[in-house]
Amino acid sequence: MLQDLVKGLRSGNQEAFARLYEIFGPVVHGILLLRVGAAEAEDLTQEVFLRVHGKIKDLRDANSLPAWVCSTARNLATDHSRQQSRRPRLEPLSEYPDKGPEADEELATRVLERLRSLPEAYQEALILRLVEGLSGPEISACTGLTQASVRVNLCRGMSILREQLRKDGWP
Amino acid sequence: MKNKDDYLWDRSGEPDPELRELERVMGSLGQGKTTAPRRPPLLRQLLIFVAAAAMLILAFVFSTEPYRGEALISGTWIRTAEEQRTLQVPTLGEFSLWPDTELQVQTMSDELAKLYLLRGRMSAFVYPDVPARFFQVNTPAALCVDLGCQYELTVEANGNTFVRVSLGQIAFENGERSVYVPTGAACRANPENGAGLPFFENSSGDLRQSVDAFDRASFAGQDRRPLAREIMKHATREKDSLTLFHLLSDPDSSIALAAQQRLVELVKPPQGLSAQQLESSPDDHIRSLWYEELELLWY
Repeated sequence: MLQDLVKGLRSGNQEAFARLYEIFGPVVHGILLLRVGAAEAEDLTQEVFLRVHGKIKDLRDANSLPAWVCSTARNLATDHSRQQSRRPRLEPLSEYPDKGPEADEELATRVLERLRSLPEAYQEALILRLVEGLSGPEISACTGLTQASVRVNLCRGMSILREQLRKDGWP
Repeated sequence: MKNKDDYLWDRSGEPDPELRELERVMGSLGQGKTTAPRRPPLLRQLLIFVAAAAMLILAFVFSTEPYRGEALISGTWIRTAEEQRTLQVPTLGEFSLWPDTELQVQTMSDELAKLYLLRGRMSAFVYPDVPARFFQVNTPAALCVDLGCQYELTVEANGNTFVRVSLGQIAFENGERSVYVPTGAACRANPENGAGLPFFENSSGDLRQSVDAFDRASFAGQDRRPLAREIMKHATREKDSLTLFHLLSDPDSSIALAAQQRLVELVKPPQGLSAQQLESSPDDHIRSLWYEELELLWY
């Protein structure tokens, strides 16, 4: 399946490019969201795919496509972050209103900050599961990690996140 | 048999109320769901062509191979005879050993996974979530430090070592000296002198030959200035700045200065460097400015 996709991308097939975006869009967005703001993540998602499209001829092994796409997203986010100021200080979750869409949005941003403070190995698995809505097997397929590795990262990461959220007064 | 984490894994099993609430709240940040201002979508028109993507995802997911794990214990030697062997190490990566390869597991801890490749050939695919520098392979000639990538390492019987990177980047290190080898690039090292100059494998034959000659002269302690001039003559692409950048730290200051002058001709110099600085032998600060300027050209 990956071989066909990469073959289509190399030949400039637009349908293949659309499939690439459909499959990897959430993963790329999740990886970016860990490292940049929400608005930048949406914009940079497109740039990642343009970069992948431009460099696809350099990819030697089609099986490496998932890892390569993820790596491209991380690198682009790193480049972008170098130009940005530091993130704001974490505030206690309990200081925010607990009703309504605005409160939810604010809460989501705060939880995202907690998520960003977890060990790196757990961040991506959790953001792809909680924010992008992918299941464990989908995360494995789209990142190139083994299912065992993803499962471990999800379980351990979730355990730490729960603990931190409780300390912060998670509702 | 059901596991308490099944819902977290694939949404089967008993829904966890706390997790469901987190999904609900965090889902608002997902792709295409934020209300933040955006530039016009560059890819929207391409999405018109999307047809059976959901089917593709399902097929893709269910086509993945089952997990096979292999534990590596510190101190263990692994030797291959005529067979090729593949090791799949949970949460670390996948490694192939070619026939007639000898490898020792030196350290396997929470902080570091370090192997020693005595001879032979191995390819490594390190999982993307493994932190940079966590996985390292020592050789008789240099330490190969993973910075997130896929690469192939060959150690000859005399200890001469060759690395080629197919994805990501590695650092080839000897003490404080570090040579960066990014995707598509390669580098030699020998036991007496450590790592040589990195070069892109798709660079011109002339450049590759002049790098080879320079490395050999360095390893043999011969006069390298004429050979350095050959490198500068044949470094004609922006990507060839990879090789030139590593000449900036050459112990021969005349070579380092000449490399900087060639870089100025080839690419835009870093902002903030004065004409005087560009005409003097580069120090650590100047080299770090060059690195930041050039790194993106190598990707």
